[in-house]
Amino acid sequence: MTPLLQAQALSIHFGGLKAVDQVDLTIQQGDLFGLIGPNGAGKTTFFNLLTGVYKPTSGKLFLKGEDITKISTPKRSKKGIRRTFQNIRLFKELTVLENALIAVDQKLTYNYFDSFFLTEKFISQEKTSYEKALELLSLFKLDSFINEKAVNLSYGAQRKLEIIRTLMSDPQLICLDEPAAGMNHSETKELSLLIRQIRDQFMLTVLLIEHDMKLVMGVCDRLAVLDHGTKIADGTPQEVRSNPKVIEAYLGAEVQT
Amino acid sequence: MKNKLKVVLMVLASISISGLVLQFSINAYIQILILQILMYSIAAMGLNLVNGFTGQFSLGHAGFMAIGAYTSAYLSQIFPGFLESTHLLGFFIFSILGGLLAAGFGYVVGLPSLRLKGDYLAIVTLGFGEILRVFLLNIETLGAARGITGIVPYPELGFLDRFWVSFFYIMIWFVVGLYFVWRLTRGRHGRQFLSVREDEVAALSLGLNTTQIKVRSFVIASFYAGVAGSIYAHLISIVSPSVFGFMMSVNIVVMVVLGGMGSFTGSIFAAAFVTLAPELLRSLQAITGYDLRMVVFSLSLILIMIYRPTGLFGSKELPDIVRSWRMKKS
Repeated sequence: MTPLLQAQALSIHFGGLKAVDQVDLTIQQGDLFGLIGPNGAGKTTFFNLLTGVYKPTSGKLFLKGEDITKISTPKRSKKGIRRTFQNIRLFKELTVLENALIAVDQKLTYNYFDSFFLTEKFISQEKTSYEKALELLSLFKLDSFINEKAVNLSYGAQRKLEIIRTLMSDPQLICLDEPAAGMNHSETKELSLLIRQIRDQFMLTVLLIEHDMKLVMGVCDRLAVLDHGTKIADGTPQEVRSNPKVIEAYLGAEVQT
Repeated sequence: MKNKLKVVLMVLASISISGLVLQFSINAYIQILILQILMYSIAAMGLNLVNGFTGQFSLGHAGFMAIGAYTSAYLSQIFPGFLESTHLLGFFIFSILGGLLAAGFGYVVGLPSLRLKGDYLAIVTLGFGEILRVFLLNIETLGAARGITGIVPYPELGFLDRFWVSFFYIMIWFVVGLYFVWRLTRGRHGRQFLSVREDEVAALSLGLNTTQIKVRSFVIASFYAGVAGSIYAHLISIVSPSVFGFMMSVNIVVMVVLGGMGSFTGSIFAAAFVTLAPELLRSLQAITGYDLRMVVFSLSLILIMIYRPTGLFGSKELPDIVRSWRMKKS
């Protein structure tokens, strides 16, 4: 079976800084894959390479065997790679519902004339996207806030809304950039259950960057560890946990407790 | 289908009747002011799409109006009999051509500057407006500094005088234009514009081609400006480069900001305010003996922006505001 995502010797250099250097990574369909590493290890840069924000200096990226190295961000998103952001990027002044609806845009096909004449196409497409949004919002228990501005939501709810946005248009791979940052223990627990649930329910692949070791170790099937831009370990949480290189690089006492 | 036809007929009927009422009830001075308000509203509605919804900043709308105005004026000069023989249809054709030409210029100006983030559009459009003005000032076939005079005005039809015909014609553009942007912003296209305004990076990550979205909104706005310019040409009968200067661009931006970014009805109210206030203040000049119009006008603008920083209507439309008033009362 072709892996869902494959990175081959992916590198990006900013001048002399090798932010991501020769990283090979294979993510199988349905994986819940964790990407960890100390601060500045290049995790978010790797995400940006994956979603097309940066162009790699060298190396290749494949989505289901298809070379996507040179494809722009919106086109990658259309191919099913969706992401959240470390520093939440919601459409702050828009309502929760609008935030969700924007994410489904690429599936809508009606044009200016359909919206001008209120054609059947306009009405049915708006209706299905509204229903879809409502379904996801109620799954995440945000349906009571649909007309609230996104900026007024609590921090945890904003994170959830970002995840909803990634789910709106049936993605293949969702990349969560530190979804538990700023959440308390019970919220983190809830989130880890939720991540598993959406993976199973929507049959998608999740790539997770996280600092919260409890979340990563508990929720991920497989892990890769980055340090100074290079991959130093790869495997199941148990394997990674006992890898001396990883312990040296950063996990150390935190996991050994 | 039948219902839609009914709505169209009702709109046409109400335009005709209100035109008749206005024709006989008020004097020519106020009549021309009303027509000007409608014309500026069309331009401001379009600009609101760019400045209010898409969050870009265009400062050269007068340039696009000039394109529409000169297109209409020049065409009616080289085809002198055309407008007389086709009645209102000819005016529509000229307006559409003017709008399309303006939209074409909008595309050329917008595409390079809208690829970038930030305030480049403001600088480029500002430059565009000035360059165009200087061009018009120097092209002899377009009358150079004199401009084009004696442009065919809107005709009379039987007992319906020139005002009624102009009102009817401009009102149709106004209603269709308002309805178009209204519907547009209440569907996916409006959400696209808003998402670009709120966060371009996030919009990109959701698969939206932000450059295309920005260019679209800018091209639509240019079309509106072109149509408004064409209406101006036949309404005033004179176009000259000096009219479409920087001040006119600023005036339209003021209408958008004053009315509320993202509120079309707000833009219309603000267009009325910006057009009427200096005129109403003329009586003040008669009393004081000094021309304080602009002082009072500017002061009132400053005060409004202090007390209503989001503009008169904010991002709400008139029906929303009426609804929330009613809710409060009951």
